[in-house]
Amino acid sequence: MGYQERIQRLAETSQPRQEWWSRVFATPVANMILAMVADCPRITPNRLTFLSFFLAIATSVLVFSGDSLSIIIAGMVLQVAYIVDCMDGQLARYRKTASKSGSFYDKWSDFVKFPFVLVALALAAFHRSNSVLPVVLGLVCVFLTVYLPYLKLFADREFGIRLWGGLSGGGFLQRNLRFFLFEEAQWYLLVSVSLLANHPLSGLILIASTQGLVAIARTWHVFRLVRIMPDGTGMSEIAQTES
Amino acid sequence: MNQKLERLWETKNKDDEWWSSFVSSPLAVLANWLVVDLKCITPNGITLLSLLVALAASILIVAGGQIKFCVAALLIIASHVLDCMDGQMAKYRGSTSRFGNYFDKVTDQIQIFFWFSAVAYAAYLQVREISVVFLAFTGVSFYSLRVYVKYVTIFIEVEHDAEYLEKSSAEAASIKKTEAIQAGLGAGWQKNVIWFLREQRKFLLFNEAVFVFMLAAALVFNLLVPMLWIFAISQVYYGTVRSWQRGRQIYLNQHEELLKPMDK
Repeated sequence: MGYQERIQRLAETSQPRQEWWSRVFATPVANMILAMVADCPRITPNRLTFLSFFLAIATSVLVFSGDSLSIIIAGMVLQVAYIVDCMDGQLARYRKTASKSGSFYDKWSDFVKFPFVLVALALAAFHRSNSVLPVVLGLVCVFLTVYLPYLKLFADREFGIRLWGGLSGGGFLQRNLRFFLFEEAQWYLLVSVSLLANHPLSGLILIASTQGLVAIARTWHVFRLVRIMPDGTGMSEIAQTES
Repeated sequence: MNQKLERLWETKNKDDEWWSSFVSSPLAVLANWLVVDLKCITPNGITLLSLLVALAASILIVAGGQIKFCVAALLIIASHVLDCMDGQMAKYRGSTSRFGNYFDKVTDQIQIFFWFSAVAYAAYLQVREISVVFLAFTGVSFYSLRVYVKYVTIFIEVEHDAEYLEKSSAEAASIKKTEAIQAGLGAGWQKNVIWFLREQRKFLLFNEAVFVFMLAAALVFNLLVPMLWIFAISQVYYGTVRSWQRGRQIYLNQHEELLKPMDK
């Protein structure tokens, strides 16, 4: 299969719902790289998941080391990690080898790698300023980063609520409003920008404030939806007897 | 009067977590016995009160001082009793709701974060070493990981089999039935002693109920740093083990033998 054909097939398997930064940067780059290597048997989706995980850990180590040059390099490494993160699912769909365990591995590694980077950011900012503020912000960021995916899955699985489903379309307004979702793509972008600016504290402030607003809005949103739901059987009952 | 108590006892979860099963839940039954018929008290109101008490405890921990620590310990225990009360009251009144369930779970998640952050801050002020804060970071992240892998597994399995949750819950219920020991108000004291001793194994699960005990004990005896170590290590262990088990379960496609769907 030639380069053009692969590009064609990759475009077909692209996920429809994308965030702003992923749409303008990571997905096009990921598709470009995949168009060259998609048929190379040594590259597998699981290996890519691992590579992305490894690069995120490398970012934390670089940030942790604390000097300005490594922090700026860390900002670039993190974007590479993001591109690779976009490649694994795409490759699995392209090869039609998408599997349950691959999906689990991907979600798991996303969940674990974010706190690592945040802890490193908080430590670097703490050593610079020697105040408790970055540590408190770091704790808030870690909580929000683990709380938001939890809320998303929890609302979906137990109440059948798909969060912000209205923003998943392809219209101009929907595409641009998605910038404010501050999901994965924005997370990578904000952290990278603060690292490239060599200012870890601003990254923590940006993440804590944006993700904090999103967390409040979403929790409230689910609250309202759940409230008007008729009580009935199903997931919630199962969950209730178990908890 | 006794009938009311028995009916309330029925609303107690049969397979509660460690500290709940023999402290918080019985105390919640007693408290409910007093207030369950008061119309002005609602289950959601109690959930909210539980969260407020939990936040008050965190504020006292941050403020610091041995007396405040002891009061905070009491508040944490009280908050957990309230946490058990809301569900019992809803079941007693036959008014369980999706909203109540959601509200209850979200506040649980939030208060754990507040408690451990506050303890980490207090521990930092004591030893002046930032590493203790990262014990709390680690513990909270890995605890969330436990909860998260549970939902991811359900999410992935349901995508492939819409009835996964119903099927595995039925399985889990049948396992529980054979395991459950008959104990409680009607049973003799020997049965209750055996039940109590067997309950102690649940301590090793290091879940929310165990945190309540750990936090209260650490505050009363002013052992914040060792407690944070235990918290971090236990959560890293469970986060890792649960991830491995769930991953294996999905990979081998055998959900029956490993874990019940709601375990974390």
